[in-house]
Amino acid sequence: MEKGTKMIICKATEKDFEQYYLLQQKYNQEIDPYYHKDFTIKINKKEYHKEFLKRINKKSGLILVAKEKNKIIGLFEGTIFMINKEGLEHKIDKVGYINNVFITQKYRGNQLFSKFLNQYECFLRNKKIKHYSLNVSKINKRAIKAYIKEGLKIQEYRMQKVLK
Amino acid sequence: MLIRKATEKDFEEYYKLYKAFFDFVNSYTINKELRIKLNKTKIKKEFNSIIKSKNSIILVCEKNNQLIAYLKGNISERNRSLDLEISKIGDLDSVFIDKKHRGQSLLRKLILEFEKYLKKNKIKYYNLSVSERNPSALDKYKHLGFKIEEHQLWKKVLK
Repeated sequence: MEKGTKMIICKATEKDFEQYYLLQQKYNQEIDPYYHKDFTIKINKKEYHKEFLKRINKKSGLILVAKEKNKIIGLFEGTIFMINKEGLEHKIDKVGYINNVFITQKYRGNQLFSKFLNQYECFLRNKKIKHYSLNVSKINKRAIKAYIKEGLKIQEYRMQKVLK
Repeated sequence: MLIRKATEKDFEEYYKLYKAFFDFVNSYTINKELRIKLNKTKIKKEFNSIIKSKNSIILVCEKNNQLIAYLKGNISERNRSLDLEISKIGDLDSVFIDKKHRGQSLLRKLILEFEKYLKKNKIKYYNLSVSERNPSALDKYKHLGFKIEEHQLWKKVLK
């Protein structure tokens, strides 16, 4: 980051869509190699736009963007979802889940990641949500290390089998 | 011993195994608030809907007119806003074998039967979740051809 340049983190708005979409594509390109080629993501822009508009207005979600000189340099998306379903009940009924975190390479290592997490955790506390989770590819060691540093703990593994 | 699809009559015995599965899962769950309590009425409703559904299945293993194991799985749609080559994927929701009947390859047999169902529905990939605190299950699934794809991490932010 250039000295004296102000970076801000704010909630995403409709106007952010084009830049958000481009960054989301970059993010997908970065994570695609972590998964089987059949899972390569091609975003349908029209559908994605519709969903984006719904998501930025949802009270149970938080979409943040980090900007420098009006340019989006990082994105974050977290939600709240109901965990009590199909007869399986917990003492709490809602938890948080992080869907998306991406910071452009140039701005990594600037505490941006911690700032995103802090804002999300504040959002959860204000809504009295006690726990949150996220999934990360086992190959993405750097991300796993960063989450552990932020106090998250590995509790489950998602395993996959390919049928021949 | 017979592996077959569950029918309405199986519910009571299935429920005992299903409850035993969650007692086991709860013993691994660190956060008390995330431990699961079963609502039998709702589970019966779900059971009756699964056995009639094309996108989900409950397989049971019967020995001497008694259920000794079950497997519950489904086929789910992927996110529509992402044009994925794969539009549907299988999920192995839960599987449980009564303690007295372990070590008889029942897990393998149930999984093979579930895979037949997935292949019939043209499903190429399927997922399951295993607790980090259950290395024995992790090893068994690796042995059955599963690979770890993702880690799931949790954090508590409020006491």
